[in-house]
Amino acid sequence: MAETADELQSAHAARNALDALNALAAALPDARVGHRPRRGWRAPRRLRGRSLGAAISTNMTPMIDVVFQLLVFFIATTRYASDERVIAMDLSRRVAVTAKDAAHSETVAPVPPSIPLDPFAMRDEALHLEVRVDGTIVAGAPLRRTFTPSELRTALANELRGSGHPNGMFEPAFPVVIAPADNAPWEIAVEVLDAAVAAGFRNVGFEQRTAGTEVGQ
Amino acid sequence: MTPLIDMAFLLIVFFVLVSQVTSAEMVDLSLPRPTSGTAKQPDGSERIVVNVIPATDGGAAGYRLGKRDFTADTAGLQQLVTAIAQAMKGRPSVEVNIRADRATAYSWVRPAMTAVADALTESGIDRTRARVRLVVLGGGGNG
Repeated sequence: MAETADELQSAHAARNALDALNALAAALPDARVGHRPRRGWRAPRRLRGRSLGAAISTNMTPMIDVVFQLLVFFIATTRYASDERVIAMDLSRRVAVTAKDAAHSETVAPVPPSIPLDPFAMRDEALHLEVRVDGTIVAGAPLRRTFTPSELRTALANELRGSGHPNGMFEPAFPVVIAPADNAPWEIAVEVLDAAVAAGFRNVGFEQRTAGTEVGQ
Repeated sequence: MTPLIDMAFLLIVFFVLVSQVTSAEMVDLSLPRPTSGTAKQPDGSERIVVNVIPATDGGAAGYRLGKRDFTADTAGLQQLVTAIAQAMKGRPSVEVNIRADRATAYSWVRPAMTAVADALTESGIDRTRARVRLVVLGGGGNG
């Protein structure tokens, strides 16, 4: 008897608790106990039409940073060496000649040495171009002329044997040795080399001195 | 994560930039600009660069091969010859570029060329195969 009274008591308590919960649920309309969204649930209107990822905003700053870095990189690298050119200089084939020619170039006299007697005998060593500080060029043995820098190119081109130059006496392969004065600026020396190459000589180089390790003066 | 990636990119850019500059081995000098325009674009082949570092009044403060500096005296030039010979060892077709300021007197450029010639002799490279180039500026004069 006591058992049934106890059962009745507990069943009553459980019903009371359920009633209290239902009353709470009725008071809070959004809080539903044991209520799941329907199968055909739709998002609220303000969220409709957006993907889930759109909720995460894209940060543009790093991309811009990288783009700027790339920009700086390309600007900086293309500035270097963009304007540089090279002139092939024939250092190689000159040395056998220049060992002999060094003796001539040591004489400070601007007048070329007067060696040949036979006008048809051409020194087959090299055409010596001595460059002075002011830019004038003194041509050696076969030519024996003084040039200004501006006329050097056409004058040398006229001395080349070939079409249109009946007076030309040099083959394009004839070696040309440029001997700038010690204090002649490098710019003038390169200018003479450039003029000789532009005139058509293929075998142009600077004079080498065999006692080469002296510096400056 | 983003700052990390930023830093990584920045470092990459930095190192690429630095390696570019050092591989070019550029000393800041004003190169001569010949008027006839026979100079050609460098063909991008392997090269070593000998710089004549300009000093005031047309002198030279020294010579530079790669990242190494050499004094402009007999001992320094001897080291330069050895260094060029070492750099050319085993690759005779390497291009040797000589860079000098336009105002540098020829007597300071000549030792650099002589050093290249001596290095060719020292390393036993066939002179007719050696490729020596002078570096100038393009686009000068009447082309």
